[in-house]
Amino acid sequence: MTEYLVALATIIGIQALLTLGLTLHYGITGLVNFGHVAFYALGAYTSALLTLAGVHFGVAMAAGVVLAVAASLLVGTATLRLGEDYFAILTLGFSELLRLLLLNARELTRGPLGIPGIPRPWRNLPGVPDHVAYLALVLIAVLIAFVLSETLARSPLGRTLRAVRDDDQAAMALGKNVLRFRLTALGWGAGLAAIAGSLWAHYVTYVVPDQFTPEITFYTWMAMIIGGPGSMRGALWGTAILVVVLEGTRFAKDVMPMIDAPRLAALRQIAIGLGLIVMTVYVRKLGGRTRPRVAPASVST
Amino acid sequence: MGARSRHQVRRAEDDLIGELVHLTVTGLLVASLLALGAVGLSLTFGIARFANVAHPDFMMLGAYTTFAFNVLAGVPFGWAALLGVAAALLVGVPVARLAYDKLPVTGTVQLLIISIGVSFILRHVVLFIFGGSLLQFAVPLQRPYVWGPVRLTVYQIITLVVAAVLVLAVHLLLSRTKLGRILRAIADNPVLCEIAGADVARAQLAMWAIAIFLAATGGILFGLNLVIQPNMGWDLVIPIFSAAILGGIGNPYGAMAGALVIGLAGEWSTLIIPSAYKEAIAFSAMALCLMFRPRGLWSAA
Repeated sequence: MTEYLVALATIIGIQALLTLGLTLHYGITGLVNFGHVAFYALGAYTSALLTLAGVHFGVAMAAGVVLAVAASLLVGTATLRLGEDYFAILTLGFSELLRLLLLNARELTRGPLGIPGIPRPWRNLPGVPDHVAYLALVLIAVLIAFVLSETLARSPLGRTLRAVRDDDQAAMALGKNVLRFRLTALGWGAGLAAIAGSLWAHYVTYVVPDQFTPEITFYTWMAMIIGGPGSMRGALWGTAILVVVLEGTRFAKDVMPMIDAPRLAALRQIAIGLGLIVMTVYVRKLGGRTRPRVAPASVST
Repeated sequence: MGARSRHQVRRAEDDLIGELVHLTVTGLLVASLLALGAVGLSLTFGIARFANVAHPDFMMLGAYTTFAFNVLAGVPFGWAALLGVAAALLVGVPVARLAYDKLPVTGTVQLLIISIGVSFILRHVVLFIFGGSLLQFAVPLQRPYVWGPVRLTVYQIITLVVAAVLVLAVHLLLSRTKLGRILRAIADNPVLCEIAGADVARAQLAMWAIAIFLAATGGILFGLNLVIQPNMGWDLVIPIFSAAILGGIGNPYGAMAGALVIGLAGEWSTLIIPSAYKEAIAFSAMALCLMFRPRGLWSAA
């Protein structure tokens, strides 16, 4: 039982890092990032491949962060000047293509076979069980990320980011370089997602492209919405509630033994879809523009 | 010896031309299927003003309703397809109206997230009912007709003809009918349109019906040529959005052209790049195009 609770706490911690990153993106800066899982995957694969090549865990994680931040800046530079719908779809596309790449670059990633045997750090510490030691590592990472994000959100930079979110025209009129501020937020959030990815890879010791589907992105959106976007504390609470509910549905088979496993999994996903819709309707803080009055491109004959 | 190698060179050239013709035909087929999705997506984007990520799932819906009539109920394919389209409309239109028009939300971001929820629900309800295995319609295998390098089965010819007829029908509807005029007017300025006394609510209902009709037909043709599975719509999200965005999202004519570019570019690229990256090529082409023409190829930038 304690082992299960430790595992639950570890998963909550890793997911919390993802949610904190997305809160920086959407909650603070208003970036509709639908490809968050891409940065998570980059962190996980970079860290996994480098540690297996003999690089120290810390260095490998840092490399993953650098790569994810670089990728986010590249994607951001290419797409942030477009409207938010474009940004959403393009980031979603980016994450799916990255997964396709991981699936097909077999020489590097072994494709659908995945990479097993990723070493877990903080093993065999005297007097501490391995899973507890790893939980401590994750919690330290969450604490640092939380303090950093909270500081960033309260700093002058955070105020500017919120100004960019609420009215980018006004921010621009005040002489703020809107694109640069958006890129800054994108980079920070991507870095947090990469740390989460690295911690995930070394926790489950096995990565495969199937772990990095857009579902991860939308779980993170749900966690953020539950906690109330824009609040770092809310990100932590929202994540805890989401993970406990998701894990709880695993026990649904004890209540409904007549439904087979794939159907039960489908029911879970239906519940997630409904949850996403209900949360979106009832969480008023989830601002966003109202439908624009003039279409981006008009229908003409 | 010299004569023989010259002969071989000519053979190689013939092969290359044959291959190119073959890929062009395949590209046109892909473009037909994409166009049926992208035109509806563009139409709804122009009028309902948000990116409906669940749109390709209406293609999946059409394929499954047809499958139910064709295979489970034993109706001949032609009739099953008609019944399937009708059933997809009966299910899809109320779902779209309820989720996108009736809920008390107005933000583009909220609608985007709700559409993700709708996509989750549609896919997994189908998975729950039909299971996840690959399915096919009960139609006889057909020997392809061969004209030189062109090989087409009767199903592929049906696909090309149906897509061309429907795209033409959409054109006539938008340009020649009163409904088309109202739809174009709403896309330009919904408030003015309402003031002028047009029945905006009824036009919106018609818009969903047209979009879902096109998508369901596309899904049935997709199933006729390939296989049916719950993720078939979701897997088309990126190419369909690429086509719609390339054509200047909101512009149905642009979407047709965008589908043609994405379909042909994807197939032609297989001459030099492994076919697993087909989708990546199409997506990168779109991203590249957006950097220079942020509103699509055919917009008055």
